Amino acid sequence: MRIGTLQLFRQGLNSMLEQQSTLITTQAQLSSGKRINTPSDDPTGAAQILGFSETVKQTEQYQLNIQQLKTNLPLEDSALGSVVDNLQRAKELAIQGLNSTNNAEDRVAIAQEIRQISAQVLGLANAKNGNDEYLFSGYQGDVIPFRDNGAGVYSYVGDQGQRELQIGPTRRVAGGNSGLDVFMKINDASGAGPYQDVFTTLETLATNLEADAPTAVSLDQLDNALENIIGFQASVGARLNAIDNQEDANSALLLQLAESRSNIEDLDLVEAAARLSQQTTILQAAQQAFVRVQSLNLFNFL
Amino acid sequence: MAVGVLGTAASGLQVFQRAIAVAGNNINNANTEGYTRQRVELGTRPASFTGQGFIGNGVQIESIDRLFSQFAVERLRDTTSTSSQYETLFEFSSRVANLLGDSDAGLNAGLESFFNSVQTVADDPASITARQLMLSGAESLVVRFQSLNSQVDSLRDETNGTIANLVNEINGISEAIADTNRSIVDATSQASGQPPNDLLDKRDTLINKLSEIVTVRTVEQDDGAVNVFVGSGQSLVTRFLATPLQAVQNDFDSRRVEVAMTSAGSAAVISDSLTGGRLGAMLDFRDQVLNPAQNGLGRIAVSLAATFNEQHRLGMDLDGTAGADFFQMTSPLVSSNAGNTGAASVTASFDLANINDLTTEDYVLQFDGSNWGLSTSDGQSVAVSGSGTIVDPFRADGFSLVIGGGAPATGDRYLIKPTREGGADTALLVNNARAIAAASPVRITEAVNGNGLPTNTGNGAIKLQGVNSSFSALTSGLTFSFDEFNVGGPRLNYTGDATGFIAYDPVTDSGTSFTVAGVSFSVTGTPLDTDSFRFDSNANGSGDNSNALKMADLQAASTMENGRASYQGAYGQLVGQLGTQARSAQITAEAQASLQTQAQASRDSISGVNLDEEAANLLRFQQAYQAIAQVISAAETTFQTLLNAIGR
Repeated sequence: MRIGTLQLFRQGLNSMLEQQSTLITTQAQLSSGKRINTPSDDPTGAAQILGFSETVKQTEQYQLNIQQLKTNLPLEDSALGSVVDNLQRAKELAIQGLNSTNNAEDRVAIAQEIRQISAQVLGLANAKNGNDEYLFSGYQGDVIPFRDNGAGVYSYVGDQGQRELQIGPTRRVAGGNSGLDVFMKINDASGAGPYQDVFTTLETLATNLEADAPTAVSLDQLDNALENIIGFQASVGARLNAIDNQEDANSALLLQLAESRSNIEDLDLVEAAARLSQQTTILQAAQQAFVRVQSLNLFNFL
Repeated sequence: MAVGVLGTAASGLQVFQRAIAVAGNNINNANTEGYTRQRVELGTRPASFTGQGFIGNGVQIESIDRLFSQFAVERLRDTTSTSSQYETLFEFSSRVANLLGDSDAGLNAGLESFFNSVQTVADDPASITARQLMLSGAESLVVRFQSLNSQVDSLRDETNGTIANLVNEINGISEAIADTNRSIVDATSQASGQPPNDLLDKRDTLINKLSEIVTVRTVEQDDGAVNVFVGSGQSLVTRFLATPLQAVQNDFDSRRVEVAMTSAGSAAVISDSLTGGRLGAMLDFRDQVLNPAQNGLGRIAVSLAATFNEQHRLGMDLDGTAGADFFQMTSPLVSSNAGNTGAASVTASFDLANINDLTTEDYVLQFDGSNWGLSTSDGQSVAVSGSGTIVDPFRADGFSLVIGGGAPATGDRYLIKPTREGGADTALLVNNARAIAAASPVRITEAVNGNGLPTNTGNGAIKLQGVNSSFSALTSGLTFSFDEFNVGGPRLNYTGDATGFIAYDPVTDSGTSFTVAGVSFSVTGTPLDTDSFRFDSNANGSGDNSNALKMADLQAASTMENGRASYQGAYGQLVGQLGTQARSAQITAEAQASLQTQAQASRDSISGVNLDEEAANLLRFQQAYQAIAQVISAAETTFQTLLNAIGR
């Protein structure tokens, strides 16, 4: 085929420009470390990456939520633990008080200690978490949940709400327990009503001791209270356990997402480096060919 | 006889001088774009008759030909047009794809941080710091919507500006083609039919330039003039007359530039029929890439505002007030056609109950004389319900239309762009951290005595699930009381803000959900007779995060695409679609560029100057010239011999 001289020039130039453009693409990939630098590089991959990034950010947020739970649940656990210790001491004292070797004065002394225990349990029931919210007031975090009305009467003024936190795409865990469930809703061993709160139990025990007339019902009632509170302590432990499991699952998911994302988005460095050197060679060849061909001219011989 | 030889030789010298000049001209123009190589066609001069027969009189130039193939020229023109179209389309669509697909600057990162900040409020709803974080997360999301939208807008301005500039360029070139037509016709007639090669080259180059801007068809006339047509046969150049194109305002939208042609005194818009070249690319880009991109962005803004606001209104803020609208949301754009003659007015609103039906289309509402019909802007008919009145508006695809004002005239049209301004119009309406409605407005409690001690004897429990839009704040609350021995079966009677009962048989109904006064709840377990529960306003519920959790859930909820996509899912689809458009424009551009290279090669193969060939020709002509010079010398010698003989 007949070739125009301008065409020879154009073709040489075009092949150099083409090689330069592929070289630039490879260079951009190498400097970003990514195979996909604009959505048009791989539209499906680009949309997938956006999806991965959404899941990653959500999962990272679940991990933060878990940290929040891991701060507050141990606080509840330790408050409940101290309440249990106090009630066990109260139970020992109640057994001691029932013992017929004690006289009225001894029992008044025991009653005093029971009242101290009651004050301590009240303090624990009104404990706050790291965010300055009351642990046991339900949703009313800034309302002090247990009120001492004097004359041995205590009332619960929190509500029955229980805050849940999202720790996985479909998993929520309660961040606390309401004071009503923990301290109030304790089965009544005396048969007077359905429930008796822990403060009334301690107050009744103290009053009976002061009157030198302790009853075995107080012991049963303390057992009911201990059973209830230990039950909640166990549930807090179970929740912490579940959170740990979810945290591990979330970490595993994050790793897997990072790997999947990398498979789609990241550059095969070895392949790209080989490609770069190949493209460089081709460009050099194109440049040399251009110079050679351009210098070929019959006029040189005239 | 010797005189005849001299004459023949002299004319031969002249012919080869000219041949060398033509070769020289070819060499000079070897690098001139659009130059067609020329060749001297030689012929013998008419012979003279003598008694002995005809004696040749030497050589003459028959014509100076321009070596070209009309087919190759037209193929180059077509491929140039398509190639520049897709190159331009790729350039512009990849700008949109890169803008929206950027993993840091795109919308995705904004949505992610906003919803993470909602979770932070759910973690610690009483914390003002967490609430401030959510407000600033929302503010950055709004700014991101606006800035992405304004960047798309500036691309739109650029597109409109480019269309207007290209129209000017076309007019300039058409004018030049018309002028060249005149010159060619004049020159051809003056040169008694010999082709004016350089003028023909000039006109071909002009038509090529025109092809880069828009696809044209040409028809050559007998006198050498060429008529040029665009679109569906609109005449751009008729012999010596160029008809200018005009950049005019769209009848619906004064910001949209259309291409029009004036014929018989009235301007007709021909944008839709123009294809190919940079102009075709800009028109395609505007309709097929830019509009869907901006609408897609706006649709996410509108869907987010509608669904997030709905949930936020169902919550209660730190001060015990019901949540207000969180994001600003405006109405769909309606513009009436400049040619409307009726007096009707059309008002559009979003159909909040069906907001997940929103599409990225624009719509045209048209009155046919008795009925209104709705179609997408590209002509697909859309099913509409309702009658267009305030109580029963037309409803379709997530928006509603009310026809008011006077009587419409036949053919009146209105353009509705539901989502176009969604990104621009979004704004944050809540600016006080306490006003974030993280809590539920209702609190359900089992009955307690004055000291807060539970009094129910059964183990029945009622758990709040949420409130719906028919809920209004509780004033005296609701008391549910279990009537175990009711004749018609056990039931929960309620009194207070509402009165009634719900049947609840603990044996069969445990876990069932009910809704009373807009409050949804589930009942479980076995209450005993007279056990009661209270529904109260959740005042002081600062630690309640239940509405924040519901707002956070919206991130993954399928609130768009008829319940098939989340906000980010829809955004991912948009980026994927833009990426695909850019990618396919790129692939086509590459393919067309190589076709164009081929077309250029085959045109050059015929018409391009080859320097080696010209050098060889130069040698040939030079040798011929030298040989003829020898003929003169021989003639001169012969003549001199004769003179010498006589002179002696």
